Amino acid sequence: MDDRKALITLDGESSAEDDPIILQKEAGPTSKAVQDFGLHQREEPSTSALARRATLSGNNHLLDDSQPLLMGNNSVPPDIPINGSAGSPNRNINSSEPIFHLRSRTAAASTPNYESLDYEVCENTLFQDEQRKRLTERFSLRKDIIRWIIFIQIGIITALIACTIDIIIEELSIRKYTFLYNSVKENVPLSDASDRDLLIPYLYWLLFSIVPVAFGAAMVTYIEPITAGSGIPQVKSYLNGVKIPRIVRIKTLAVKAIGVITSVVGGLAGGKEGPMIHAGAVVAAGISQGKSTTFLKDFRIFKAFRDDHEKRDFVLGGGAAGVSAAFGAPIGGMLFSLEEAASFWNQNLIWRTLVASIISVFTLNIVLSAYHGLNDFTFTGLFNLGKFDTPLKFDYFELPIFMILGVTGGLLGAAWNSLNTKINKFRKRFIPWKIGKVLEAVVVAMMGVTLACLMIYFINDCRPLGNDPTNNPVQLFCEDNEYNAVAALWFQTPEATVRSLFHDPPGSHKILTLALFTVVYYVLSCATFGLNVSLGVFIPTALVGAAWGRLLAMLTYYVFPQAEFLHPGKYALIGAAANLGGVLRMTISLSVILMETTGVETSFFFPLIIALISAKWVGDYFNEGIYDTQIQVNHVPMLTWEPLPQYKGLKAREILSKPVICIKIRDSANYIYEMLKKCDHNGFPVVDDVCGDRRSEGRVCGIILRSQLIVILLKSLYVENKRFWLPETSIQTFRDLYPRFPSIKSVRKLDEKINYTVDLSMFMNPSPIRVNPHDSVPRIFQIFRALGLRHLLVINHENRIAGIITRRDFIYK
Amino acid sequence: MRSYIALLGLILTLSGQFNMLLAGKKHSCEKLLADLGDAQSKFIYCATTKSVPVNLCEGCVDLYRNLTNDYGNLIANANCSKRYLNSDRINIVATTQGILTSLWQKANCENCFRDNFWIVYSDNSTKLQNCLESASSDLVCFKCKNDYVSLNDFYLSMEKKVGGSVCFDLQDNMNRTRLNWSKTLKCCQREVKLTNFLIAVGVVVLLPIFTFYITAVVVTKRREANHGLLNEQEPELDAPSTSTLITAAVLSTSTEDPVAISARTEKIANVLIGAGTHLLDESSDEEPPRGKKVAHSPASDYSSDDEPLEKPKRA
Repeated sequence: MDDRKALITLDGESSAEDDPIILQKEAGPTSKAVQDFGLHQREEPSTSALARRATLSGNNHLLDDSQPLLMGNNSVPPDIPINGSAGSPNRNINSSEPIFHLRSRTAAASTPNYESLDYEVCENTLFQDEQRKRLTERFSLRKDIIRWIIFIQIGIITALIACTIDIIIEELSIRKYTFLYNSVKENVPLSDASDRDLLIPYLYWLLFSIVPVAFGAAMVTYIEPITAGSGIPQVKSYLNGVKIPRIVRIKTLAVKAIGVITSVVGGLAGGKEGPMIHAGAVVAAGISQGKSTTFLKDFRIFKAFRDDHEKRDFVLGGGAAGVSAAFGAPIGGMLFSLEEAASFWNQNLIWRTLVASIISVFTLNIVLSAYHGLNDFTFTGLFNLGKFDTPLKFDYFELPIFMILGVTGGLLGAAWNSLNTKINKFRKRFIPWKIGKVLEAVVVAMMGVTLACLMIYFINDCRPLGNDPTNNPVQLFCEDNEYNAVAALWFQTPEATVRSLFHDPPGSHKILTLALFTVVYYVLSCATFGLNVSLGVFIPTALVGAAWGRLLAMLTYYVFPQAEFLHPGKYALIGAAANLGGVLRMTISLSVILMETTGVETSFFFPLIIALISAKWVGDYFNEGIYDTQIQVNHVPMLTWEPLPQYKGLKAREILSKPVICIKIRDSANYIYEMLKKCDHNGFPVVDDVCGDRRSEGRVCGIILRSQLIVILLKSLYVENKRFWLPETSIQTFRDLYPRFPSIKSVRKLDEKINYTVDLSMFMNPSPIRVNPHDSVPRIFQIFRALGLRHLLVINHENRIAGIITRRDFIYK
Repeated sequence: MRSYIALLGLILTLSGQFNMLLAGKKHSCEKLLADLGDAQSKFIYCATTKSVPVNLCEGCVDLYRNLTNDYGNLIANANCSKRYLNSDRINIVATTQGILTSLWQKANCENCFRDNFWIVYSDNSTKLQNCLESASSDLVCFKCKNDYVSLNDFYLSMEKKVGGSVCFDLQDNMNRTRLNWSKTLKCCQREVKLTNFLIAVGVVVLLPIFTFYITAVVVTKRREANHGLLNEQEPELDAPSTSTLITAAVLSTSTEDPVAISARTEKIANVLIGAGTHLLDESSDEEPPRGKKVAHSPASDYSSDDEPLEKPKRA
């Protein structure tokens, strides 16, 4: 460690100096220590050899014929995961040739190569021209108005999609469970009709689970694997600035919708809320762009919103609209997107998000009220947990009990998270095949059906008919005029089960029934989350919580029959809140969502918050929330709210990557072409005052993105043919190709244009954010995080490039 | 003038004042009110006395009709309705009437009289009662089963027709009949025969579930056994941590084949010697130490010196 520090300091000093000789001198004495590091780096010598050769050969050609050849032999694949110690040759070497695959020591962070999104608006000359032009227009507010219209549209369309999903699930579930109910009724063995067998309903149930689940899992696995899971972690990462491939495509939306319908109908332990948030995000991203790359259709509208920055805000609104549509909770939806998803927000954005949420809930109410045949638009939400008949009251001595419930929820939730992580680790290692993933979903579905069926057949929990509302009162082995309470729990969708746990009158279930149900559902939901199906985790978590909350109330009542305050519905609600807090670790939005969906009084907010907070604290002691865990397990380079503690006290020069591949402000097309082909970096500082070909020492005057360079090459925006393209080139030229910029491979070889020049002064972003090497890491982290940057240039006192900091450099492994 | 009086009366009534001009109508209003009270009390008496077993709908239907008639009369008379309805905060007339009506509606009583439900049901029910009374106790289940089943079926069909809100008289009666049938007479003989089911569960659990996971584990172990590296340790799903990398870097010695190094350095040396003069011209001011060293050191020495030079950047 000491060696490393010494090196870093040395590095910093030498980079601050401009004279290469100093470097040589400094490097001399420490060469012993340095040597070890050098040996670790295998590919380095070849590069240096090559580079020196270039130096020696007079440095006259940057890219003479022999060099690509040499590079081809010796070059390393650009994304070697373990190049944490990627060295940079000293500066006289890198002057001659861009050095590829250079990363800082922290760059080894992620194995799947996630890219960042460009949230920084590229305010180049073209952009400024457009802005000025807009100022002179009569309706200069037009963009803002369009933005509002888009948000409203997002709300409406998200709600319509949510309605469709909901109605289809409802219809299919009713059919399925009615069929099973009748099948059980017809196949109960009677003393005089002994040919009946309860095997038949079991087999039917298996069939009705396996077929949809297999279909859904196959779609998710083979068509669009990104749709697996709830979608909230993905949306969260996206909003944080990580490019999750294919997350906001129309195909993803279709697969997600069908996937969630099939898996909920198939009876897996999951809900449709998470997928709806993802659906909302896709809708938002799609509408705001006014075009669909999948269908090759450009509506020629909303062209001003075609960049990552604008899209991000819309996606946030879409997520909020999705939550609102899923729960019927507009404020909860907005808070959810603020608490869980948003990484960057401001007042206007909150306002627009809230409007999108409210519009979404309103649309949903209209459609669902019409569907349910109500005249007033009062059908609230898909996941309406039902209003409590009597106002929920609590006594002050109950507050400690709520806290105990919260602690229990925290413990159970932390255990759930760690168990789920273990299960998913097992999956990742042992079931890597696609067909295996589909089969596993089927196997888990079968397991669920088997456990449920065993419970129904073996627990004889008979309750008199008519006291509590039951959709399918299965009689089974009960006397006439009684129904089986276990079957009543299982023969409905999980949402309906949550509702009955909240609202069934006391004494609707036996203690044994509920205890077994809790255990079974806990295990099932844990096994289900992480399967390759699109399912949310909200409902099963709430269900487990409601079950054990109710169970605790029943147990306590059993022990102290004089305790009249033990209203099982109330404790089910608190239990659900505690369990949700323990698993998801959200507090504000969860309590608001629970309040909005159950319509409890504002005075009951306090008990909910107590349970949630204690659950969160207890849970946080052990591990992180399930969404963050998922993000971590997938190695998504998410930026946290605060810099990691390992970075406290470090300086910029200790984390930066260098040398940086730069481009001269007027550079040859061939250089750009070759460079883009050889390295897969996204942003390149534009430099001037370059001495010869030593670009990495140039003075920074801007930054240019890979996508822009590709567009320049594709459209041949060279100095030599300026008069042809200059009049019709605007910022739109670059926006047209968004979001799927072609790769450099699609650029034809520059045969006759090989000597052409590119002048970047018009295209580059002239005001990149710059920091000094001696700035502290927490400080630059704040800048990076708050502005949503992708590249952060480090410059020395002469405004010469000293290094570059990207998202990777903040991720510690 | 009349309209003036009526208007005045309206105003006065609304303001809760007692209007002497309406005194002439007072008599008939009081009579209507008394009729209503009488009907209400009779209905309440009837409902309460016939509460267990519930015989509200069938037993009190006439009284209920009277009650609604009386109330209708009272409402129909504009003056009376003005006087008795919404006259004060408690609004007794409307409240009592509301309670009684809601009782009637809660019991779904109107459904009793739809489609002759009541008559058909009571026919079936009487048949069953007769059977139960006539049969000897050990044969009752066998003998009356048909009657019971037909009653039950009729009830279920009726339930379907009215969408679950069966008239409460019939609900109560059916509940009692069923309880009597299954609890007292023990005629509902449902057998717990689950052998086939258990066999199926065993097959399902063993074959797909266990087989699936065991196969997955075995196949993966096999596959990993082929990779010598993965055999011993957990597969490295993640890149090694930064600290591991650093430690490894510090601890490790050259992983490179020395032959390769010497071959390469030899090549470099050749180049350097070839371009010796050029080097001194061009870059002697830049890197004198290296240039000198290269000039008169063996190739292997050079490599060990050279490598660190490009390393100091990254650790």
